[in-house]
Amino acid sequence: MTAESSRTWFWVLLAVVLHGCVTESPPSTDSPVAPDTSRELAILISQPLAVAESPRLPVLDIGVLLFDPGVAPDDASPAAAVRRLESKLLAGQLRDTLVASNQWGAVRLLPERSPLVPITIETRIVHSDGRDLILDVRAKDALEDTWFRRRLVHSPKAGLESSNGLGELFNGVSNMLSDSWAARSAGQRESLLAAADVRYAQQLAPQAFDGYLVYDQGQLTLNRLPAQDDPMLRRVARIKNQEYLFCDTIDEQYVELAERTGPTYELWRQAAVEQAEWLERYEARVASRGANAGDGAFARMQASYAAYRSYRIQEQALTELAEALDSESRPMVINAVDRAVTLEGTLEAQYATWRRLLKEIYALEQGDAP
Amino acid sequence: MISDTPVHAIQCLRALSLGTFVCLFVGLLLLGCRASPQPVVDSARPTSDFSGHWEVDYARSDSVDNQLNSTFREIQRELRRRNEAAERGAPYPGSPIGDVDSLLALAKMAELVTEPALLEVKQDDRAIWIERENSFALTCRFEAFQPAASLLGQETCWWDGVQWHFLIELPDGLVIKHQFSRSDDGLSLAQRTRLSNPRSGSDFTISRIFSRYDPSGRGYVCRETLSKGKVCTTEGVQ
Repeated sequence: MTAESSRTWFWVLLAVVLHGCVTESPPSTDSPVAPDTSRELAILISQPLAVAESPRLPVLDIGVLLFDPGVAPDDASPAAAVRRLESKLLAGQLRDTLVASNQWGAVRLLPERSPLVPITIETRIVHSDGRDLILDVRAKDALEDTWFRRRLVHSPKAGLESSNGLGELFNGVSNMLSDSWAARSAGQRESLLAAADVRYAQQLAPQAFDGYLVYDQGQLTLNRLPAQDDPMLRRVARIKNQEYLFCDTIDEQYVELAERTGPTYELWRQAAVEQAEWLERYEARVASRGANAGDGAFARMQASYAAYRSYRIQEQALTELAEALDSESRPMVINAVDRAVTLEGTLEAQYATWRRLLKEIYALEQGDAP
Repeated sequence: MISDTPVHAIQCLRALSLGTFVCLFVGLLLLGCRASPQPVVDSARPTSDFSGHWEVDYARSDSVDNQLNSTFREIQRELRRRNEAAERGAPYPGSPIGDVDSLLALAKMAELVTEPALLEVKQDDRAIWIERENSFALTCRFEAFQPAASLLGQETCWWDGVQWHFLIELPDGLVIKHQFSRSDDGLSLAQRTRLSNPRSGSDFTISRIFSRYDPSGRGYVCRETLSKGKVCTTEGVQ
């Protein structure tokens, strides 16, 4: 068997093993990345981050959706609370990686899909147990074109891990985005950015911007552009800036969240890895020397209990923190055009309210009934 | 009766009669029963409130040394009875005596496992949390008495209508079972801990009694932190 074919078999086997993990988490009812095709996803291998001296022109803004935690929204278990915390922390790490690559314009965290940005990265947590992490990622642009779908795997046991923490896991996403963006002609790039603007305008005033984008053979394409001096476009731009305000507030919340929970989350992951390694060493020792050989009965039981106790202490610290944050639903105060608006409920609900409000403001400015 | 089931099954196989199949059927049923002992779970929500701060009352609790001495005295008595029966040539019906080394190891483990002298119990309409000084909390949710499994062990909990049960099974075979019950006047909490290792056939049980206390009356307050462990302060104490 050649080295190449051995490697192929390794990936095939790993994919089969990891596919088994998929069934462990309950399927999400509102998953941005369809689970039925996940088994076909190729694994994106950990790689160095390509850092540019300056962003490629025209500058591409990116939206990073908060990850789909892969648990039911009404799941009140501690594990679900940890997953929901992870879905925000990891989305922030992906955002940080994209920013660090210096290849892009603004990289924003979004609670849900919005035509605010030309390209959106959607990620679902397929499996996470502190040691192993599996994510399905999809990059989709404003013209509904999927740039790529990949599976990210962090598995120290399978030899798939980043030497510099989880952030490195996302290097490949930035690199693939960069390759996809570079592969487009200048015209295609300009066209995508213009199409994103039109899509945003369309959701505010569907009738006014009808016909600018058309479906042709299942593909959304830009049919024509509004005039540069169209006053409606200026109003749209102003509304867009208001939506950016919301995203900036999410960003501030993410920074605060990362400061509060990041160290505990890292300790939990570290403990999970250490305990799993300890267990493997213990099992190997028992297998090679027999259960009663070497260590005394007390030493064996004490080591086993100490490992379990240590893991549970770390796990409970993270769960406590995640549950506390999960139940927190902080109201957000944002300045609209002429007033301060208080948004309440979940982040998704707040975002939906804000967008509805912006639509109403736009309609009022246009003289249309909202 | 259950432990004799395999023997019965073998005897039945040897007997060439119609009853063989009946015996086999009954034997398999009994084996099935032995393979999956189910905890007696009371579906009703616990009526006793265990909430509060508790400290161990050493005067009313077992000491591991005393318990171990008592167990050894019992083993000696048991050995004497066996010898006497052997001398008489009579069969002895008692259960086998476990390995003494394992018993000692379990006793030392019992000391370690029951080390926490302070408990803080929180209970609401969803769950109970028994936070133990310098150890992990024992937690149980009322809706789902599901085992919490990890690579390093499995935890199961249930309420039987009188007391809470927490069963911890570790990969090397050690099984720790804590049972918590509250006195009628609500002033005492009993923790009965049984450690066993099916591989060695030994078990060791120890009881601890806790009394309520008021943490604010001590002049200092302690809390566990991830980075510094236990941190105590006199600030903010009335």
